[in-house]
Amino acid sequence: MVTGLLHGFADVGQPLNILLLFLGTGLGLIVGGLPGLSSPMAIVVLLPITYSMNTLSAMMVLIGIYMGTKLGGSFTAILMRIPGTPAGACTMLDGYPMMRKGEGSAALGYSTIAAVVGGVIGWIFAVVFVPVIAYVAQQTSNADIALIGLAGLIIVASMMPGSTIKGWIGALLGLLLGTVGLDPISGVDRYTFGSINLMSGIPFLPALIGFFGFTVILSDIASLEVRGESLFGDATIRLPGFADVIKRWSSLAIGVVYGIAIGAVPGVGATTSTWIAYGYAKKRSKTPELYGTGIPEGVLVPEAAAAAGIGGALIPMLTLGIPGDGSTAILLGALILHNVQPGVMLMQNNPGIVYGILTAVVISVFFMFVIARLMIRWFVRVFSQDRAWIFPIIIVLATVGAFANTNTIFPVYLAIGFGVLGYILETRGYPVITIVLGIILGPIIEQNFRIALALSNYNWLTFVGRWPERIMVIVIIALIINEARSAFNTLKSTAANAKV
Amino acid sequence: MVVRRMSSDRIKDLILELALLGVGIFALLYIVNQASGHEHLRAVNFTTFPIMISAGIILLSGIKLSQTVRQLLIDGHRKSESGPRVSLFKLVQSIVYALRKNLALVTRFIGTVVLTSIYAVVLGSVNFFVLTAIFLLVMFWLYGLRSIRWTIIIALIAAGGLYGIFVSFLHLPIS
Repeated sequence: MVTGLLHGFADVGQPLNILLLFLGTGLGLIVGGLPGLSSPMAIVVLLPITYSMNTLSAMMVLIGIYMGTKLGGSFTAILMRIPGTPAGACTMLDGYPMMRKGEGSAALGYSTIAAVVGGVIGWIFAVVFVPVIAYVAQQTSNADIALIGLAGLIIVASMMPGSTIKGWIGALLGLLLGTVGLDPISGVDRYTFGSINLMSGIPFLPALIGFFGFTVILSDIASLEVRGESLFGDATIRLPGFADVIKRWSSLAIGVVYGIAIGAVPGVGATTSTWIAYGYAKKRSKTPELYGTGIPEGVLVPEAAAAAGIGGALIPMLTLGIPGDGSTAILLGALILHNVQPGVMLMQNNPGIVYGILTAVVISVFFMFVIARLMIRWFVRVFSQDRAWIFPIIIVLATVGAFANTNTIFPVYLAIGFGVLGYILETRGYPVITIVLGIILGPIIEQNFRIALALSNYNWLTFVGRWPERIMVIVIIALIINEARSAFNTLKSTAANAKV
Repeated sequence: MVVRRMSSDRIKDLILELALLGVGIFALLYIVNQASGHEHLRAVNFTTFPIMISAGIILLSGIKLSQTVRQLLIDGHRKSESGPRVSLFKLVQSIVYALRKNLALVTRFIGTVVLTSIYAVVLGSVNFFVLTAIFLLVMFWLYGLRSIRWTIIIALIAAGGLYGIFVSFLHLPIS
């Protein structure tokens, strides 16, 4: 582990990689602060720019953006009462009242410190657990991989906010899209309708650009006029003293614990962890009535949770190929585009990439701190601009990015089509992330499922042959029963409410 | 008003659920039909996974559909108890009113999709810098930016930057 990390630092320490990480982090801070421009969207539209780079350099840009958006989202939440990211909405509860009380600099300082502490502790957890889980995962068979993929997909679909059935339908649509193209085992074409463009399957990049780029743009057109205006003319970050931080250690600890634990659950992401951590901190506080009135604890808890969640989300992504949130789903897609196969064998086949990503996370935390302190005044100016200037440029980036996939026009049509489809589904409460996950995990699940059966001479007992497999099957069945039961209860209560 | 909005939401749900059910049925029939052309298939073959998935979509969208239909029926029953039925004319009138009220939004939405599609079609056959500058100008106007001087300046700078990235740096065949 230590050797791997040292290699990671050596690789990331190359001047070009450091520069790309620095630029990515700065860009992430800006993008995170602009409402509507989420982390997944920023990563996906900039993904094509990384085509010509080697895998590690490309990941530097993307990891930088991923990290930067987490803190950037809270800046506008504190200064303008407009959260740049969904996770920033929780920070707004106390951050903005602090701002109104004339403690804006301090609120920015607390959010920055919490992001740094949360980011570093989350990183330590990732560094410790990734090699351990990856080692265990390497002992897996085809049947295990198929079951892990299936369990991951079910967890993600079930954990989505809103209707469980809608989450599952989304996952099934993604799996169906994942079957398009030539069957890798028999060579028979499926759902291609005679199109040569679809023979090799639905290309990842147009799907990602469509679902995370165009969908977001189409959804946000309605709120184009929303524009932030800071009450704080000359924004600065005033860092809290060491004693101030130590005095509030429990707030940081709550944020970090919830951030890592919930961040590691596939599909749940930072937004949920910030609210749960905030709720818990408020509940156990001796003065819960002060939460929401502008206290530092109310900023520390959600910020630490959001930042620590990154380390948590990286654990299933790097060891099992199961993303923790939308951004890590795109990072997985980015690895595939750079011909690196994510999953249980990633650590064995590409340890340099794994340790490079892990190292980039902690260096990016440091960059985030430096850039935020130096550039906050300039960021506020950018945040105050009309988003109508930015959206058309993003559309060009997304369109040309889809084109650059194969230098043909077909992926662009596909991306626009997926964008409209994603918009329709999102407005009716179907989470598009489950579709993307289905596209990513579908082929992995199917291939391993069929190979496992072929190797066992079509004996279905191969899926319960060993204890780890039995446990996985039990987990999957328990998840399905639990979700089916809660979905049934929801249906019943909805019907009862409708009758009243 | 609230009941009408709920009904309108349910009709949207109904349309989408019918579409999803249609997708599931189509996917199932398509793959079953394809399997009929291949003899001596193993128990698990290229159709197994798509059949399982499409069956799942049919089942789940069927559940959602039945739930929505049931709620619509209850809404209809409530309305018939509380007053006269809404005529088709009034329904169309309310749709036209809603479209008029949200005309700017509808224009932006359709404009974004249409203009992006046109941009994609023309990409590669017109100089990238010129095409992008024109596209950005039109999009800025569509999104309500009316300062001629600033839209031209920003469009030219952004088009120049994008040209630098995609044509000069990445050498994409779009110039």
